[in-house]
Amino acid sequence: MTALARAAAVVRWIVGVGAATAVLLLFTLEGAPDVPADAAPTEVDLLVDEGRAIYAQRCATCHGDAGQGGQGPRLAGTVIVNYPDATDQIAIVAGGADGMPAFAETLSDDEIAAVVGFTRFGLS
Amino acid sequence: MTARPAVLAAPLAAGAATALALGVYAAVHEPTGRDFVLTGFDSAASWKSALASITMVLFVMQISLGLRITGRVGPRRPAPPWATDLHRLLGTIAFGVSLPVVFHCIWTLGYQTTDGRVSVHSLLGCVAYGLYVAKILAVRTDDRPVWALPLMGSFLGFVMLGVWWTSALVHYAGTST
Repeated sequence: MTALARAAAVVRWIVGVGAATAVLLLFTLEGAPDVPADAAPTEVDLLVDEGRAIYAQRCATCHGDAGQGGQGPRLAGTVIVNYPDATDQIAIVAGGADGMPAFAETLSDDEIAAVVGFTRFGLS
Repeated sequence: MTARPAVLAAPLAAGAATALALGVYAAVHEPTGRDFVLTGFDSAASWKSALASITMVLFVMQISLGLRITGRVGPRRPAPPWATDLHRLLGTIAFGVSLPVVFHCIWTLGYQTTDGRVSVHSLLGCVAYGLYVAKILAVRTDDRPVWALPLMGSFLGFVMLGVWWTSALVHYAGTST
């Protein structure tokens, strides 16, 4: 057996363990522990709550109360896929696109971050 | 030794089952939306694009070696013995490098059909892993037709190109909208 073949065997073993671990994680991470009901809200919770109010005022008319879409595209369950990088989505909200108005003049940076956070984590 | 195309039925069935299992899991499983960012990268899209691109480079090297091994490119003399070992090593590394990417895809994002690009990416991603499993099993199958591995490898290469095109290339082009 050549050195290259030995290396390939070792790498194959390592990758095999990695693949098995990944499959295991897919099922064990599925049921992440629930947050206790009396737990203090996290920063993300607060951001989502703030974003929910802004969304209801500024976005729901076009994107639907639950983000199901309407005049504007569906947002529920889609924004993380379409905008894996949140800064891309923030740029759309701030600068507008495809008939959607720009909100850079009417919302602060924090408010834009909040509403983006809500669409990513508060809509499902 | 007589080649029997029927011996490919089991590898292809296993590959189809793998692709189907990945697709069903990704579709049924509730996407967590939880990103994990690797050190040195500013977003999940960045590290996924980088790893996907490394995977593509490794696949191109692997396909090139495969063409050399099967005598389709390069000098007429047989490929050196190490070429086969290197071909397998590169394929294994490529598969390993792609694992965090596919894990993020199906665990964080799930199987999505929000638009054409995303639909094609989801479908090709599942098909790619199915083809990988089918090819790995076909390598270990006796009496396979001589065209089987080059055909499966080429098909896998095109599918991987499609997966990379609909994700990393879009990310780098800045048109991920």
